Amino acid sequence: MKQARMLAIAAAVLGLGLLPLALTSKYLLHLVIMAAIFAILTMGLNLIYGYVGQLSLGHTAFFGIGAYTSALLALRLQMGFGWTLLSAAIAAGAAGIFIGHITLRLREAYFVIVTLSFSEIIYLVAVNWVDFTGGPMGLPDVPSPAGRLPGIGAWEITSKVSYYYLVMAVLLPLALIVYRMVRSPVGTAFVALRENEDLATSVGIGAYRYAMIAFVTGAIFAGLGGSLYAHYVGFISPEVFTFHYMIIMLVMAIMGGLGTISGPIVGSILFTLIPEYLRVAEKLREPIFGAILMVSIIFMPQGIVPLVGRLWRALRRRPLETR
Amino acid sequence: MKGMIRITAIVFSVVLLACFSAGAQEAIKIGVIEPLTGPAAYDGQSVVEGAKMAEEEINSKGGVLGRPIRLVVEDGKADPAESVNAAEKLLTRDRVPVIMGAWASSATLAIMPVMKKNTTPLVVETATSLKVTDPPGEWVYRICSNSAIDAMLMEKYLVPVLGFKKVAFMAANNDFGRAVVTFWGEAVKKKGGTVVLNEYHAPGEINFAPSLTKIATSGADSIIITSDIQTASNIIKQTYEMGLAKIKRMVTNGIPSEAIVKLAGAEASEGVLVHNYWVPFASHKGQEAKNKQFVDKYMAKFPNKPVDKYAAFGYDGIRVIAQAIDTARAAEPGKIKEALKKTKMDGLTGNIQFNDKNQALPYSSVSRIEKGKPKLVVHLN
Amino acid sequence: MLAEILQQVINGLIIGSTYALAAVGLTMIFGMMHIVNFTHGEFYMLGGFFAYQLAAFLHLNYYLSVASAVMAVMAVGFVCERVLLAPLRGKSIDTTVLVTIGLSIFLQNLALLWWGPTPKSIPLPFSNMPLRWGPVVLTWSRVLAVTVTFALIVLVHVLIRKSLLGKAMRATFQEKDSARLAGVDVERIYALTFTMGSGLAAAAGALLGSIFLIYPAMGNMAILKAFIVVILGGMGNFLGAIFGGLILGVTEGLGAGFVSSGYKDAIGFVLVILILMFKPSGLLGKGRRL
Repeated sequence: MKQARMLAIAAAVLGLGLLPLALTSKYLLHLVIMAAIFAILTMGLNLIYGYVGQLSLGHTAFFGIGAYTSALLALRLQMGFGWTLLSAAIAAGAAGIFIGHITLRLREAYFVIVTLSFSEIIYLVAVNWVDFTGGPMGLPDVPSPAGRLPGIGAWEITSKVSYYYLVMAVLLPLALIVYRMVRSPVGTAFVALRENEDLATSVGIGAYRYAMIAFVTGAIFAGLGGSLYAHYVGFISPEVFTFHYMIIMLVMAIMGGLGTISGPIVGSILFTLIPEYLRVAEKLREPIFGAILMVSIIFMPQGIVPLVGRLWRALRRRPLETR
Repeated sequence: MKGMIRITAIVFSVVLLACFSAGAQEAIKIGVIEPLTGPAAYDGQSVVEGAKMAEEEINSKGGVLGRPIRLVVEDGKADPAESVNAAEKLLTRDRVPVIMGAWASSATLAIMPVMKKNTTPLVVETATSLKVTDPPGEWVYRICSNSAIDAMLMEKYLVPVLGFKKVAFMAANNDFGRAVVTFWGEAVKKKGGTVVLNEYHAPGEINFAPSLTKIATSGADSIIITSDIQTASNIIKQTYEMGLAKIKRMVTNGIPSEAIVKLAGAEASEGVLVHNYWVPFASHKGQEAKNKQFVDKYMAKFPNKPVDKYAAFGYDGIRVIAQAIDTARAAEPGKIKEALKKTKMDGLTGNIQFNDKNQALPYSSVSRIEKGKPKLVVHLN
Repeated sequence: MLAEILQQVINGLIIGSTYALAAVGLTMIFGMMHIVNFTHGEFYMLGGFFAYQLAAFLHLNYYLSVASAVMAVMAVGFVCERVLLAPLRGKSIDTTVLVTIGLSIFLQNLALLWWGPTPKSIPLPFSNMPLRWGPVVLTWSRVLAVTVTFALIVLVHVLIRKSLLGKAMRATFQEKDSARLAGVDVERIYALTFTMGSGLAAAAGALLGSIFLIYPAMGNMAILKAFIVVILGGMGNFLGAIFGGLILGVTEGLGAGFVSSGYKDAIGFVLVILILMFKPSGLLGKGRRL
């Protein structure tokens, strides 16, 4: 069994590695890169929402903080990519600690609204503090990832293909981290809190502590995603803090499958591609998208990955039963 | 006899074939990125309507280089990421040789690097941010105005002629609003006026009482309003409802007067000055016939919508592109770019010619709303 | 200076009551049912558009248009509840979030397709002339909005607190299973509450739409203010909604007037954070603790 699994994983990694060479369309590659960046964001959201069960509507705050940190450091201080990426993670993580400390003591519906409030406030700061953030005019010409490595000299990532590998180089380790985290006692604590918080705390699982771990880790993920986004698109404006992006992440997380590892990734791919395919519908694109959301959630309330998992198991069980 | 018939038949079919194949040649695609949904849908759709009118007109006259043109319109939602997706699709999947878009300054700035990477020209039809042409990009050509130019043209009139001596700005808190405040503010100060207040509001804002109260007690004698159509109309409405209609009011950047009157009411809009770009009622010399034709065609197609500058710029944008393709003798991005540089077109929106910053100088004027109707005050250029 | 403060406070009270009006429906659905209802803004918007359609095209009397619009939206709300929310009842909060998000996207864009992006105004049966009352300037439409706000909120409050229906509603949302045991038709209560909530949202949209213009995206601002008011006033606390709205309106007015207008919207969110940190049950302290 383990061997089959290792083989499957190896095949997947190989497939991912060869993907950009197989894709002839640059447009599709662009979408894959965007999907991958959103997958990183969504994995972070999944930690606090899927595993711990608290709906955070403030995730865009960390995405935006990561994006702006990277952009500002690259533009104003000419920092290399490695540093801007790291700083984005630190800034987002710090914000996560600060916001988490204030908000994680609150429950359910209150948590939802208060995280939203933080996001909106940070948005307004980004819009109004023009000298620092560029205000609504944004920060154009964010440089592509570049830097200096001892021994190799200066490097720069300009082509889509190399960008793809860069994003994968961030996404895959993060996915691994999620995998390990979820399988560890930490992950068990998460789920315990989600399923029955009172019971969990009664056996000594500190709700605040574990929620904080999930929240800050999620924030760091979002910060990393924000950095990659800023360097890829090359232009950052306060829009990254708006609810529009929060909805995107939420849809990807829920439809992919909350509380699963591959859910965010599947959700990101699907919900990057679906709106793009819907372009053919022109003006009907948005209502159709809304309708798809509603129908999907009614028929697949757990999301796609659990559904597929159930189907798969059901199929595998059949041969045994007929014997 | 039989021979003659045969020959005629052959000649006839050859001619027929020639006609058919000319028409059946592949269309030249032109990419268009506009907000079709979202808060800016009204304006974005107007641009597309104007563009489609140009498409029809050009195709009815035989198209360009013997081929019809075909607009490929994508919804950019005036959002940077969406517009980038749309640009990527248009450039790599549809392989358009030129794009017009993306309405909002932030969206336009976001797609400019993409256009550059794909060495494809962009014609900018609405975005007013200075950063679009400063620093000038060799692939970006703007036919609409920018706030620096507007301010320069308004300078002679704001303080000396219109009497806007103590000005309060009420502007949307976005690149567009802030640009007006920066440049027009300087124009006021240069002629001895003072800027009393700068009040920024969020784009969806409905409550202007706090700002208006501040303005009422500040001693301002004029308010300059910069926002989208519903917000600007709301502000006009509320200035009236708060008894501030005596203060001089001006709305910038070409919001159609008919829309203001309809939304704010005729009493509230009485005396409001409007800074216009292309307007149907304020034709420059020699433009009357052309404008009337455009207006009539538009009204026939879209009976319930006042024709506005967005449609006019959309129309001119496509015509500029078509002319450039024609001059270039090829539907190829690099050649189109070179041809765009040399554009000289007597458009609806102005005499379109690009300066060293790839910026054109569109017509603008000031009008006043009197008894529910706009009346031209002065042409600015 | 004093006159300016007074004017800001009074304007704040007036706009605050419009916020309270926009929030009543959400107090019912979010505050009582704990459904994070993202469609609230769209019910609000539909109330405005239906009223516009009736008034401008069927030339119905203004008040009748508003009332009929409310009825129409209640029908829409009822259908949404039965078709979309009831099947998801047992599942966690996430699914209702997503379904209301989907519904909100669907409805807002459908409205955009149907009515177009041009903003509309409803012809009012009275003039919009400014009325002066000492240092205060008002219009009849605002007076109407304030009056309706108070009347509606008090009405709903009395309904919830004193009537049998109200008791059944409170029982259902506090302890669903016990309520069922006590003979309450829980499904009916859910449907009724959601329907009423959507109707209240529509009433707000129709009235406020006549003041502030009607367009497909009008719900976006309304829903944000409504969420703030519900938290400030206390979840499920209708009288609290009045206070929440007024406090929000006045602090925004004073903040924008004397500090900065660019940050005006941040004031509400800062208040939310402060309240939730120090007094989560709302300003009046009678909201339900979760």
